[in-house]
Amino acid sequence: MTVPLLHVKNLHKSFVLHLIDGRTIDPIQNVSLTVDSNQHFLLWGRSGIGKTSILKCIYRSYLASSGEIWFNSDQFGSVDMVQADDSMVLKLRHREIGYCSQFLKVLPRVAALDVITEPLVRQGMLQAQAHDIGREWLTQLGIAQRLWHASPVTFSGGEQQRINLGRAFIASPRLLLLDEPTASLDASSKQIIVDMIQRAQQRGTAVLTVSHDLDTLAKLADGQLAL
Amino acid sequence: MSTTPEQLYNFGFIDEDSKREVRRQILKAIALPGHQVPFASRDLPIARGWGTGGLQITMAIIAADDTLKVIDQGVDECVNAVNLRRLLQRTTGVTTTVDTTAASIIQTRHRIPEEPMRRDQILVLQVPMVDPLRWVEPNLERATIMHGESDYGRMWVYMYESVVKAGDLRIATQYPVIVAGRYMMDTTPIPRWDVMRLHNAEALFLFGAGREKRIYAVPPYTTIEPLQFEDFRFKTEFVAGQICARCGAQDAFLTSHFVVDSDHPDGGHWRSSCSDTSFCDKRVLVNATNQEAPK
Amino acid sequence: MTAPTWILHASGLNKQYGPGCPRCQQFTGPAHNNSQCPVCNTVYACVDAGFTLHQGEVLGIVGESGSGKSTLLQMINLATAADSGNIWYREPRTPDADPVDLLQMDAYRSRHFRNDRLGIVYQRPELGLNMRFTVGGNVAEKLLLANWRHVGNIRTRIRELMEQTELPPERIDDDPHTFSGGMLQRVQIAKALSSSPSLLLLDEVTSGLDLSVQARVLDLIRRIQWEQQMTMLLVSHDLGVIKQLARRTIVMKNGHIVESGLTDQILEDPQHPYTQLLVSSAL
Repeated sequence: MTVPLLHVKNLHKSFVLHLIDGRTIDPIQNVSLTVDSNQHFLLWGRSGIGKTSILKCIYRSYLASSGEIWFNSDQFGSVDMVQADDSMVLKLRHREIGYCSQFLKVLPRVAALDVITEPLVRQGMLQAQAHDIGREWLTQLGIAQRLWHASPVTFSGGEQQRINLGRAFIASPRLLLLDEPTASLDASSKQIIVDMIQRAQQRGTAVLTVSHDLDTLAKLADGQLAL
Repeated sequence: MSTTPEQLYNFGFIDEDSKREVRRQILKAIALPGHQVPFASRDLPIARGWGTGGLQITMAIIAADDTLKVIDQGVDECVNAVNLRRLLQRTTGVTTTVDTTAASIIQTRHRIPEEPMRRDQILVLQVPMVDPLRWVEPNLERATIMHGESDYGRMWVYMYESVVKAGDLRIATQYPVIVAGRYMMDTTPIPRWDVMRLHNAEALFLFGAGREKRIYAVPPYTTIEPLQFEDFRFKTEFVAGQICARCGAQDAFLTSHFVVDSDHPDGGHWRSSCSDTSFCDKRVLVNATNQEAPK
Repeated sequence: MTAPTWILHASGLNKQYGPGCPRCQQFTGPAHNNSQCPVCNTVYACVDAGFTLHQGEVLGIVGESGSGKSTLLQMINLATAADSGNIWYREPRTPDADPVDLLQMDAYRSRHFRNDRLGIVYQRPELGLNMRFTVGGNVAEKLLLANWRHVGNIRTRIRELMEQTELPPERIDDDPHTFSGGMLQRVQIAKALSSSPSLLLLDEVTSGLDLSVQARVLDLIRRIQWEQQMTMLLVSHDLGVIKQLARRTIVMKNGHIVESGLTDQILEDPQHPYTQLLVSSAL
């Protein structure tokens, strides 16, 4: 039996709100799921049920309260993202695990071309080479050439979201966590996203998507879990 | 000349305990070349700032069989030199001299005598400002730490700034040097001319500052490196073609004064002469003998 | 097993001002919201602090005034003597050599190490610069201390550093008083970088600057970090600054480290009550 790429076991997450009389809320209770290599896994359910929290626990933006999150790393073997130390998590984020939030958050002084190629340059690629790849991606994403040297902050919501996703896909991580990738997009933009997910799978990226947009994404999914 | 000392005072004026204190600190200063050693500076019948530091060193080291020379600006006969000499002579009864080669202790301010000093001679310098770091760090405590850690970066910036602002190293006197590769030392108000004459010299140099209560020393055969850059070297005041109007010396430190023409009160000229007057006198005498010889 | 990638590993760092008494523990620390013992008046500036810093990494230290973050930075800068603890340092240029404990070095070596391997930038330029010297003289200080003795070469290097920090090189001989606040921070950065240090310490470098100037100074720091893979320790009370530059963050309060973790985790899922308050207070 092969080890799955990602195995989440009995995940619990509770928040202690010290500022509001120390009360506790428990958005995630006993969640388990498995994602294999190249798989597109869809996590769906209504708003506020804790879908995004699961992604953030896997990415370690949230600290899981209990349970295990085993990631099968290329470099380091099986790593429990709940217990791993910070520098291990940073190394995995650097090379193997990508995360794409619902909204693009960038500095208003950085050009779109630099935004989208940042993960490549961070991995050590020369800027000229990264820019060549970046131009291809921007073309595929349907971003007009006149915008490439402007900051994405000035772009429309749809364009921003395409840059946001492009930036996540460009580095070809082994596991990509997508938070509501199709929200606020029109039909043609949605199709671009669908294509990107499919191409990523072909390149060997497993995708874990959180969404309530079943119409677009369900048909792509190799596995799913409803919350 | 020599006289009987005044019986009202101790030999060398200050009491034996005070002398021992000064001697102990002198020994320490010799052991740590260039390092400023604090000492208990006594009150003397001359004002602080008039050479009390050098005077106390001389008083502590002088013995009845010493021969003493006192100069100020290279001159034996200037007011301060005369008075210090008289005080020392009256309280010790030692022989005094103006001849550098005859002296065993030379107390001085501003100059090292032109004639080379020997290993049996001690030069005592009166120091007005002790610490070269005073220019860049007025806080004594912090400057002491800087010396302790060899933290001379700021002093080097001062030298760099001197080059940038004036186009060259523009420090007239009190040129900073590194002693024995370790401590930075102020060369007191001796001119740049004399700085390198401290380097690997045969004689012992003792520096005393009465007002600031510090003693430091350059023992015989100690290296002295002036602060300088590869492209801006340390220079002395030597001017090509300089000549003493009295004795004709070309390789001595000269001072200049304006001489008014007696016929034309509005006219006149600058005249240079040796700052070391006893040396100048000797040369004048030698010149005169040489001229008389053919007769 | 590959060689460890950390360059600095600090542990058990303590700094107190005062004699201490048996009742100090009862009254001081974040739980009591107090750094000073009311019985003996001892101030606990930093208590049992420690962290690991990896090559090329930016570590943020966040906390309110008086939380001990600058004390911690100054202990790493070897300017404030720690009462106890270790600061292990591994020279990145000789990765096979054994690490050394910086706190065991004598004053002379420690001074040399500070000048050569550390660079520091302060919030107030007059702490990092000598306002009586020219801009060039200030940048030159570390070079001169490292035995650069050729004025021509020194000035070439100063101009290089000024260009690198986006300062006009023709103003090399100007008086620092004629420079704006943002430019003075750049002069400090140029001075800090002059010895090619292995660790850059930044103490509230953008506090007190206009927002637009702040952004440009941060851009410069980010570029230096990016281009030179510079390891940095960044002290700030501003979570926005920390978020932009640091991947990992330490939160301090009353001399104690109350929380440490990935910066996004600290911001999105703060655990300690104080961190939650800090995050909720961000603009």
